[in-house]
Amino acid sequence: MRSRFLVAVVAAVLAAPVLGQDAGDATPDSVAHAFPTKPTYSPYVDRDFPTRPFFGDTHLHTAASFDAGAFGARLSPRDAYRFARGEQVMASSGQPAKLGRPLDFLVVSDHSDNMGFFPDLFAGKTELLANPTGRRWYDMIHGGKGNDAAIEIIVAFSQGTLPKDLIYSPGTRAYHTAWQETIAAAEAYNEPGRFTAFIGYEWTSNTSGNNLHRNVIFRDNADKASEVEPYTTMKPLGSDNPRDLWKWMADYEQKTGGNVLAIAHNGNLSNGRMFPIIESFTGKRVDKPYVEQRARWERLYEVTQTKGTGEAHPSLSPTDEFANFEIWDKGNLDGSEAKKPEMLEFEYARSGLKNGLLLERQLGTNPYKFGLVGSTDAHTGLSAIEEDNFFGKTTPQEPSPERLTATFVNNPKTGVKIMDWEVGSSGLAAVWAKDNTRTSLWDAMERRETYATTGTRLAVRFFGGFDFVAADAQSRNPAVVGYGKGVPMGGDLRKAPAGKAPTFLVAAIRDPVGANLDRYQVVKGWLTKDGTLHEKVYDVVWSGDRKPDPTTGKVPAVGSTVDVANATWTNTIGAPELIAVWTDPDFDASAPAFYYGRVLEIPTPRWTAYDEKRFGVQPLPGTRMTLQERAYTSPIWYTP
Amino acid sequence: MRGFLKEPLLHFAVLGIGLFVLYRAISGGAGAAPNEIVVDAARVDVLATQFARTRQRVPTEQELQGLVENYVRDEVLYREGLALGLDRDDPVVRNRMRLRVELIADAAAPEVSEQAAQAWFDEHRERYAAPARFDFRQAFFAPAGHGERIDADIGEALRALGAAGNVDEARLGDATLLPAALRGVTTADVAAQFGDEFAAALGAAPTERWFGPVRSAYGLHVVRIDAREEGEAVTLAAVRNEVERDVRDARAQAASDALYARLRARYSIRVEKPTHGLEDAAALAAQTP
Repeated sequence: MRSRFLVAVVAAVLAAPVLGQDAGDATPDSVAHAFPTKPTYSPYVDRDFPTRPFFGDTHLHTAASFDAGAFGARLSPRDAYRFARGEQVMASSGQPAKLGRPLDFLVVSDHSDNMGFFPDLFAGKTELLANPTGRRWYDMIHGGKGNDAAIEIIVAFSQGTLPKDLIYSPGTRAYHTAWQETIAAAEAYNEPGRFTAFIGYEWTSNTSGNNLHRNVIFRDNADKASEVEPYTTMKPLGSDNPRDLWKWMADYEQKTGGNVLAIAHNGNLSNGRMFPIIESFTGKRVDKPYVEQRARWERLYEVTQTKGTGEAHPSLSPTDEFANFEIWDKGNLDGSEAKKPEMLEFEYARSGLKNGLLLERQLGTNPYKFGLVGSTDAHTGLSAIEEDNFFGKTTPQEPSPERLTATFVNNPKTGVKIMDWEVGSSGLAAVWAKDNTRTSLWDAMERRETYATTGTRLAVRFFGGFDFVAADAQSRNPAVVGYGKGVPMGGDLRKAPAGKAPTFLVAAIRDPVGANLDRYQVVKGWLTKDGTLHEKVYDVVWSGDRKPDPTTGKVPAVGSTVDVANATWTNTIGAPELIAVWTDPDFDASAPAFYYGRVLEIPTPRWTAYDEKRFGVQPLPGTRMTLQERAYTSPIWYTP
Repeated sequence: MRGFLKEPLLHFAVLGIGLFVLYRAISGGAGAAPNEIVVDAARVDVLATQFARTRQRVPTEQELQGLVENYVRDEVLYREGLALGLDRDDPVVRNRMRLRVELIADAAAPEVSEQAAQAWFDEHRERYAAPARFDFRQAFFAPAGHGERIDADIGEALRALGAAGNVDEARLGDATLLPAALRGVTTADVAAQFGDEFAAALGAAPTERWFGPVRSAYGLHVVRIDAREEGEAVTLAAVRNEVERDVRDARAQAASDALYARLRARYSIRVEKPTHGLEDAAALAAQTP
């Protein structure tokens, strides 16, 4: 193989003078050379960029997470990796499970607090049974009241009332064993080029039930990851303040020469704390160190998962007819505090991105300059979020006739009640990387060349620059043009040349086994001189010959082919592929801005429709039975 | 591996097996417990009904046999669990007990010797072989754009590509996000972007000439494979870690199955015919909301 390539390359060099650029240093000039009227001999020049997205999950729990274990999960990290690679495993509920298509990568991110506690409690380890609360939980679990025990354990953790004897903390033998097992599992199933098993954990800051969780992902292998133990939230070893996590991350990098990044999630359950302007820990405005460190360590945000999608909220974006998608806005994580409208602004990705522009003006750094991914946050060891193959958020929510009508969270004091049907079968992290390896994927995450999907595998490109022209959308190689004349998703536009507005090459192709596309939109947010933040959603390219409404400018709905009763749909509407060049019609060169792509599929059956069909159970009134799966790209920023 | 020997789980397992053996010795083995399992008609009915409720159809004979087998497995391991003193009278625990007894077998897997690794590797060589890799180019013809002319247009493109060496490929076919050229990709890589059918077609195709049409998930293509590297054999040394992992996975499974087989052999099992037909179970299932 190698020698044959060499022959091809030598032949190409002899035949053609213009060769050897890679996308990294491609310029408009070099791209013009790549598309002369006479083609270069070798079709493979200018190909040193990612040619396909890799799909994976950066957020999955196994039995080693104390709450997952309490809920009945029995699968280990090893089982989780095997399942994600496409092998069949036995789910904790005793039914076989297998993915329709394997994932390309997985991070097992068990909670760092009390990692490994549950398997020991379940096995009846004497040290744990010596504590009266431990004994009671053990009896509950073995008496068939595992769910109640799980809720008690989670509440005790959230409210900081976990008995001291039951805390598994770094430095203990039990904790060390659990972390080593996590690392060993990732090492065993990591196969560069075929499947990437990342080492990681979740730092679960949950002060009074307000979700500030972050997943920490290592670029490194066991040698470096073994030099530390995960950072926890419980004092005195840990802290629930993200600043302390960032310090831990810096210390890790300094100690080992390795690299880590952190991905926050579920701002929707943080009750106004995820993207703060006023820090909840001090009651003061975020300061320079905060914004600098957050920008440094948190380059991505998990925007969609089983506990809701957090791109935009309908009350923050009232004219966005697609903002109301899989919303969870009743309260915080444990339902101990109900939602107030003023919290929303600090919970959703779009408003976070907007406030980031404002903070950058005030403090010189944008703390919320994050790219987007989706992931599952499943607590089953099963990253299974295909709508027709959804294994739920927790073990009791694995497929059964009960889950269409069961209750997930119910807090009578606050009135926060969430049903199992509201759990979403979402999402995936799509990463434009050159290779399926830890380093290549991690580096793509660090440069934010990622997008989130709600579970399907559509491929989405989003390039920004000042020189894209309509003909670029007709190119046989849009990616070559995109990298050559612009920056990919996650990047920065340079200063606008006089009289020019940003142009974007946008393209999407449906999942090879999925639904057609409805439309590709660009979402823009910007900050004007007077300190006002704005947002607008543009329909850029759509299927069919629909005409935008003359007054609102909005393209009408695509329609639906879904037969809910039979849980089927057809690709007779929508388009398999959408591509266009779009120029910002409202550009103000003095206003900082961000742009991101949102791609909608045509409506398809939601997991609830498959359940109704398969179990013959009547869904509760109000249950959503269809959805428009979608992708959200990382933004491209314009900074004057 | 040495770390493995320090595993508390292993200690637990060894202890568990020890207790198990001791218990058997004291209690006089199989003769002491009522060792007959009767899968009575009512039980078979319940199994069939549960199946019908879930799948909205009656089980086939083979499936019913599977359900019964699974029930027997539950029963055998449950009784063994009881004998080990793990009992709590609860359906959840019943399921857990099965898992726990299996765990005893799981954890007892010893180190993977060089010979064992070699034997496994010889037997499963194809699993570790490097997959075939392709360099290929393609031009796409979207059904929507070409309509009935699509075959003629593809034929014309192929003739042009065959006749002249200097056709501008960048002008052939339609604009698409699908890469025009890929290098060093596997069938699985191709399937992820183009769909299974297209990927499979590359396997048997000729190299260094354009051919088509080839169907993908999106439409039709003309394709040229510039180079194909057949899957290469690898040495054991190169995949030692993967082999060791898979040997251990397989051993854990085999040990679990063997333990079950040993335990099950101590029971005589009788399965009765259901009192009424399976259609009744289906009717019952249909009534259930």
